[in-house]
Amino acid sequence: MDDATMIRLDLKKIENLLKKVIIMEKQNLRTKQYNDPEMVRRIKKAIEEEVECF
Amino acid sequence: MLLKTLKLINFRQFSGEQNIEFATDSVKNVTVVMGENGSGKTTLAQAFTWCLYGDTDFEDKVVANRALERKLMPGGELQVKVELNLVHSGTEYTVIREQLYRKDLTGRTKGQNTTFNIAYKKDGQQEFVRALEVDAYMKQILPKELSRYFFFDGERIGNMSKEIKKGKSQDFAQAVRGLLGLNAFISALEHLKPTSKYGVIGSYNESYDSKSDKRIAQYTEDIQMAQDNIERIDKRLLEITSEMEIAQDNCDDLNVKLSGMAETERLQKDKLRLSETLTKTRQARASSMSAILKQFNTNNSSYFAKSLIFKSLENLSQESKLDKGIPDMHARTIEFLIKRGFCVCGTKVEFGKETYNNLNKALEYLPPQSIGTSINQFVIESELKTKSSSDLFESIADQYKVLRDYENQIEQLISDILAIEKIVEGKKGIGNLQQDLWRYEKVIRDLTAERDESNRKKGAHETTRDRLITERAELTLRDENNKKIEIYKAYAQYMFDELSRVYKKNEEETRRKLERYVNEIFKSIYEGGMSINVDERYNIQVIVEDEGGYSNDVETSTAQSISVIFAFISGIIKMARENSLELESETKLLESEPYPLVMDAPLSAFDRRRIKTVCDALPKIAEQVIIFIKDTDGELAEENMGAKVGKRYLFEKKNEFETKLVAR
Repeated sequence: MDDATMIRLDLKKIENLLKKVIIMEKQNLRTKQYNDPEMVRRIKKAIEEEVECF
Repeated sequence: MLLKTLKLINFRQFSGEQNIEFATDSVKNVTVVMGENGSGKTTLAQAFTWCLYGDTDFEDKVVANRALERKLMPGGELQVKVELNLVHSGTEYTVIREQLYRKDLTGRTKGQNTTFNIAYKKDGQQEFVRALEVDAYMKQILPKELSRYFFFDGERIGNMSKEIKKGKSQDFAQAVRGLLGLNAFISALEHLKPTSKYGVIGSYNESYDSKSDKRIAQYTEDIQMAQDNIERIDKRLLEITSEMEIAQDNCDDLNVKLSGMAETERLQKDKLRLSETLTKTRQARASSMSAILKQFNTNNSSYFAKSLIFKSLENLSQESKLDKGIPDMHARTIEFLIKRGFCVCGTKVEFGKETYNNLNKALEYLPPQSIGTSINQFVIESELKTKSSSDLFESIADQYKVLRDYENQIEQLISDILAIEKIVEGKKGIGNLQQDLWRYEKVIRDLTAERDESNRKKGAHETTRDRLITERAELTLRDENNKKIEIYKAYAQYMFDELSRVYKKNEEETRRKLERYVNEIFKSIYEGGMSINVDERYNIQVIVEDEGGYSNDVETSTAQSISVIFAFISGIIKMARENSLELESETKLLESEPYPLVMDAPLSAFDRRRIKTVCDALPKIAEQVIIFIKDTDGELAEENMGAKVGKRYLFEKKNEFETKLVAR
């Protein structure tokens, strides 16, 4: 696999994402503010923001 | 979840509106509702279940007050309502279930479908949960799978004991995990789940841009097909596991029954053998009776005439005439000689002469004029007859003895058969049970084969899917837009894997902690060398360790069973409470609610000493305790929990259809 077809993951970003997602889920369990598709969208958004952040 | 108030309107014997307020104080957290047997304790406990889930354990599912229902005129209506006010996750909820009963023109009352609503307070305003979401809300507040443990019925302990040991569903395990604070993990894993096209990873799979390479769309379609196959197989594998457990349970039950039935089978064979003997003995008795009657009918006249015959023969022997007859001579012979005129010896026979006179005299002793010969015949026959009937009495006496033996045997056989019938009464034939066992064993064999084949197919689909994913990645990573998606997906996948790992570790730790708590509580209630094991599906096993270190799952007594259930649910409540009391932190992994214990007749299976232990332990473990209890146990409960009792109520039973709740 050459560099162009390799994906490197930043473990720090993953750690941040995990914390963020758990907090989001905990809050939503309390407030029931978002339904499942909305939560999926929010998690995707969080991933994309974290990945794009330098 | 803490229960604040309960309002009952026309619910079974609680006619009209009746309210009860529960103790929510952190120190005085016990509410005791006391009443005599049949006053409505169980009904009140069931009111919770009906309100939250629309069902009760009563056989009669009509919840309307019978007295009011009878008074209804045709066309009349009766509204039944239970309203439970509670606090969950800091929000105050009112759970309302209503049912309208209407009497039709034929006088029959029918209940309509229940209506279920959940209201909550938001910014001081009351809002209602949307109809489609009420079940999901209820699942969050208290999953139905767990409700029976929180609304605990001490008098229906048998079923719970069996259920808690084996046969709990995946839903139950999931519900326990939720209560133990793992809900955030469960939700996050559910949202990230790669196998669902609606989850984070699945939706990334759906969002590749196929313009750069048409094959991407085909790969995505093939991957989804492989994934669908895997999911279908997974679903079937779960069903297979469940079906195998049911079949195995049935096999176990049947084996237990069959071992008991071996004795029944032996008795059935004995009964068959005895029945055959009975038939033969009855036939022998009939033959014997027939022989006696035949002999009696043949010889009875001779036998009974015997004394008369003897007397006659005696008289005849004294009569001289008997010897004067000429043997084998008839009157016709003499008359012929007289008519011929000369005797056999040649002497002339002439009227008036001596020869003539002698011959005429002989006529007196010859038949038919003489009876001498007949008497001689009679004597011979009499002797023969008396001889033939001489042993009639002895013979019949002997045969009657045999007949009596047959009668006794028959009586004994009937008695033995009846005794066997009584023992085996209501027991199924071993043949049916054995066939059932073979059928279930075959089911297990078939399911095992199907499971192995399914696993093989699943493996093949997974290999295909993984190969297709790799091949698709080769293509998608060459396009900038798709590469981004691939990167996001890789992060999501890594998060899913990491969360799964952390969740598994936390779940294992939480379960071990629960097991420790359950054992601590169990040993404080019930001593005696036993410990409790909690498996990954939260099934409970009571283990006895003998001196050799051999451990074995054991059958438990009622008091042990109730202690196990107490310990299990108290352990969950203790952990949930601990999690909720932990310092509030955004990064705290486990988060759960304190839960109440609502118990109907919880102490009925315990002796005084254990009641004290239980009464001491419960208010410390649970955030809130609500007990419905009979007066005698209630006094003991109050004696032992006095300082913890915040609210007291009494069931005032007016009649079978009316009970009032009175604050004490």
